[in-house]
Amino acid sequence: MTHPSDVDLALYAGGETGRLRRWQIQRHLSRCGRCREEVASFCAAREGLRRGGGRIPQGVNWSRLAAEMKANIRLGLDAGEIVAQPQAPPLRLGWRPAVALGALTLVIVSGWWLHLPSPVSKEEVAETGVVLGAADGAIELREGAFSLTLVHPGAENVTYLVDFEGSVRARYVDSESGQVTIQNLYAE
Amino acid sequence: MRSKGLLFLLLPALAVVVSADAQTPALKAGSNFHIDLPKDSPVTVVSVDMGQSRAEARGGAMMLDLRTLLTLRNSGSQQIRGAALLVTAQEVTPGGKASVIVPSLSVPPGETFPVRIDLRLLRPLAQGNGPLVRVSLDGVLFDDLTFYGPNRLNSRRAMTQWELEARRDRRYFLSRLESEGPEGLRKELLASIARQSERPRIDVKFARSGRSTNTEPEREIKIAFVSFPDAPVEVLGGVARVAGNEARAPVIEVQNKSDRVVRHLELGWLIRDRSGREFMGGSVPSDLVLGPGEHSQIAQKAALRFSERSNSPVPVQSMTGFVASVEFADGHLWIPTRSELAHPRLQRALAPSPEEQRLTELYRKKGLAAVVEELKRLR
Repeated sequence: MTHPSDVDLALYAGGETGRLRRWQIQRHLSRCGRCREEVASFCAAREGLRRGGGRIPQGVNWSRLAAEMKANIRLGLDAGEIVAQPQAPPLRLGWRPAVALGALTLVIVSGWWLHLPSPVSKEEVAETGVVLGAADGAIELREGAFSLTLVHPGAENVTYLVDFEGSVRARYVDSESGQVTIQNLYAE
Repeated sequence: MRSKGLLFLLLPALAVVVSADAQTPALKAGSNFHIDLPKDSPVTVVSVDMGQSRAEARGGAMMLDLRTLLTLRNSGSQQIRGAALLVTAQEVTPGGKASVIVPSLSVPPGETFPVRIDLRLLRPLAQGNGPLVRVSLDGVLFDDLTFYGPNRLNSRRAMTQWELEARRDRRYFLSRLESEGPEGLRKELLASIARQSERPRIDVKFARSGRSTNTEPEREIKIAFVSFPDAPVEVLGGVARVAGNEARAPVIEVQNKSDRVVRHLELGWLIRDRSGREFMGGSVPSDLVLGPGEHSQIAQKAALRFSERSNSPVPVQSMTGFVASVEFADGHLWIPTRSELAHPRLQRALAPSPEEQRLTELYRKKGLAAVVEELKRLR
């Protein structure tokens, strides 16, 4: 069984824990007698301090006491500075490494994105068997995971024709040669 | 010290770039792309420019991006009017093949001409390592309409039809030039360009499935027909199933009015949508043996779906058909005349012939003088 720390129990005894932590400690206290006793002693100490806090004991010079306390605190801090390890300055990247890391991230993300399989539309899933299509810029034959596309990028005035026997045609004038080019796809 | 630290940081990035590049090797002719021409071929390969072609793995798939410019030489003794190349990628698309055809040529012996093949293939990665693409010759059409090649794609029929259309249209434009002068020809070219730009652009998709996948209720509609008086085949009637933007399973009755045996018929389809817009919906080709005077029925099971460029469906309201071409058993073809195609509904919806498209493009790029020179050269 894991016990809450003394600090948690003291804070619980003073009603200074958050809701979730208070609930967790309460669950523990319902099973752990030792921690219940610890909480009870913290509560008693608080009560004793509360009762006795209004009176300063006789013969105590509070001003001198306060000065000594401050001196001790200051001495302690100075000693702490001498003993503590020098803190390393926070890590800061120059702009060159930052640019390189950014480029690397872009390459990795792009590679991952390019390898994503193309989403399949509902229409594509619904069609089975050989499908022939004519659309702007290309004619396509698809069967399952296979596809064959004849493209004519940049061609103007393309004429498409599909027939019931299972062929699709694209006709255009090649801008470089001035020749008519006719692309055909046939479903077997 | 600082520069060494920077290099250390950049090394992983460089490694990713290099490895990514290693996954997109350039394609080489021979290993991934193979051209196969027979020894007696009337065309020979002068050069193969693979350009920016690449093969790369994407997820679980291999993607091949082919950007190829072939330069072929007419190594025969006759002028070439058309060439058809068969493109196969059987390991990639077991369900289909492709072709690239260049009609409306005028290549004398010894001269070269380019053929561009731009395609993209996608296949699962675990499919094998053989050549991804094979290009072979399906056929060459000569000036006298003779043909060389295996003709596996019926490219002989297609190229012959386009060549007949080309001669018909060149005669027409030449007659305008001779009767009305250059300005008369200019008017015709501008009218053609205007019709081409006003033609509705609809995307069409073919599906072999016999069942409608549309949510709208399916209905049977009668197909109307535009008749051509001198067409050797007459359409007696036809119906098709329509649901929303899908038209499928047309059944058409035809009769051979000529005295020759017909072996192939192609019917064109016009689709009218609910807003009254009419566009070319597709064609119904059919191999058949139709003796003089005989009837027959053409039936297709597939479906065509129509949509705008924005993917919104175009609902089918009605359909009109017409006879686009007839092939006789002796190999001769019949095509409609220009006056028959001048029917207003056909003129608005039909695309021009490849030759008319080429001539109007020549006019746009190089002006009237270039078109006049071309017409006179090919007279």
